Amino acid sequence: MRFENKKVVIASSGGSIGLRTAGLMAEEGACVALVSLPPEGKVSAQLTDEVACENIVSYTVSDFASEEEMEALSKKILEKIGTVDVIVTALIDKAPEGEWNEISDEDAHKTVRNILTGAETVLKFFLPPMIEKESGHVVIVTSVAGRTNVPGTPWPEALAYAGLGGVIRNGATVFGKNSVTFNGVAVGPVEGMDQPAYITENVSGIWGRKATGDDVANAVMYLSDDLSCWNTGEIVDLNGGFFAL
Amino acid sequence: MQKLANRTAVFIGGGSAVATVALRHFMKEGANVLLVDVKDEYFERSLPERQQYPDRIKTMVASCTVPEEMAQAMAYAKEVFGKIDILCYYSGFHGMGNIMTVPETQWNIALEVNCFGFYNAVRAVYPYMKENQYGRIMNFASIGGRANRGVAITYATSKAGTIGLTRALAMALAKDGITINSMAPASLDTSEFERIAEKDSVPMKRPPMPPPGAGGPGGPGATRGGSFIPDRPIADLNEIAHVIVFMCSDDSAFLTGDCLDINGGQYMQP
Repeated sequence: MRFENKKVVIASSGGSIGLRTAGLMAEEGACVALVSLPPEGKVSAQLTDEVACENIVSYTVSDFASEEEMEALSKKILEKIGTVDVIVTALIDKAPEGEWNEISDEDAHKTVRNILTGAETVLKFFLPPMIEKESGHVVIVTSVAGRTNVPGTPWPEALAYAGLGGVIRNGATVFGKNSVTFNGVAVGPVEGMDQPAYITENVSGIWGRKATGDDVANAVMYLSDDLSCWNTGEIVDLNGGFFAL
Repeated sequence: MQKLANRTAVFIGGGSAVATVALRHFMKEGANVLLVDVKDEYFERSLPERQQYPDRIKTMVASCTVPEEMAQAMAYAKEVFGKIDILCYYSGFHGMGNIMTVPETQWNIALEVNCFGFYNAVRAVYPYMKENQYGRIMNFASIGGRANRGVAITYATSKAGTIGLTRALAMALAKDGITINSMAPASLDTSEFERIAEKDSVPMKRPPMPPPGAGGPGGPGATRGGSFIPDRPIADLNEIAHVIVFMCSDDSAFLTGDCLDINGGQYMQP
């Protein structure tokens, strides 16, 4: 199996990407810690209903960007699974819709914190085992809205998703010497995700369908595989050919 | 023919080395300029220009991170020059660290200055540009946000973010005749000016840059980089100012939402 004995931490806002990635990786032999936002039990229930939950342990956090909370959680998870081979972040947030200059400072900061600072904080506390053993893969799920302009994109989301590209490239550069790869998957519309209308209505690929959670999970797994170690600092545009049209 | 005749520009971060050299070009091209920065001492660099053009250059102390101060700066520009056509955003913050070591405060300041500060400036200038259905906005980003050259995580993330922000704002403001672009220079020759430490920045300790092809702090090849222009490893600030004038003139009327990479061909490198 591709991920036999691999320890995987997945930080997810609770949508289909985190869930399906956890499920497929577990099927391939990984031991997965799936960390999601509340409500408590929502993801656990989906695991039981939709995903083979063997080898998956579910955790809930209230704020991925809280250093205190992530530090405590990382200790708890590392105590349970021992080490980390793969970190996946799939954090999304929706800024309020409306005119660009009517988004409140508070809402703008909240969106950037939930998407961008959240991912950085997760990495801060789960990367040390990879650094120590000089091996590992980081995959950050971002959005097509950070790669190009999609009409209607609230600027805090454009800022945050584009900023994740900076995290990916910087991480790849800095931790390349530790044999840790950093890559991204920039998604368009995905089934089972609570995405804003500007994505679902304005981004359409060659086939005219949404990606499935499995489509995204397969790209994440490709980048998490040891055989993909020559990929680093890259972002895969998983949008069904939107850029080709 | 002057490219910026009778145009009024507001330079946020107007005391920076880049802004000071750009100011010379803006004077030559006929513009009026309000320099805005967080401390008076930043304006000392442009003393000769301000003495030569006392009616065309004004200064104001204000912070890009305070929306009210940005609004006051724009109101002042309107009051003394009658209108605002151009906004150039030079404010920047490097910060320090990598994913493991970055202090939360440095991360937050970088986002405040490099991203939210730009938004504050655009929001403040927007009513004046909308009134005339004309505007040119330039956001000074960096190759650190486009590729990576061993910069701090704070810089790489916030500069990448501000390029995305520029695209989103360009889409939103296009209907009002306002173009917004960013530029991403690589290393610049700022030796003409004495360095002024960035407010609240913690100096980042890094090993010296290795020669091209040698292993760097991020591993073999990680910090490889440099111009492909013969005998020209870094850009002259006059060349950067030339790009800024283009981006702020009518010559760039069909350019918006873009990021100009001014790096001596570094993207040609393997």
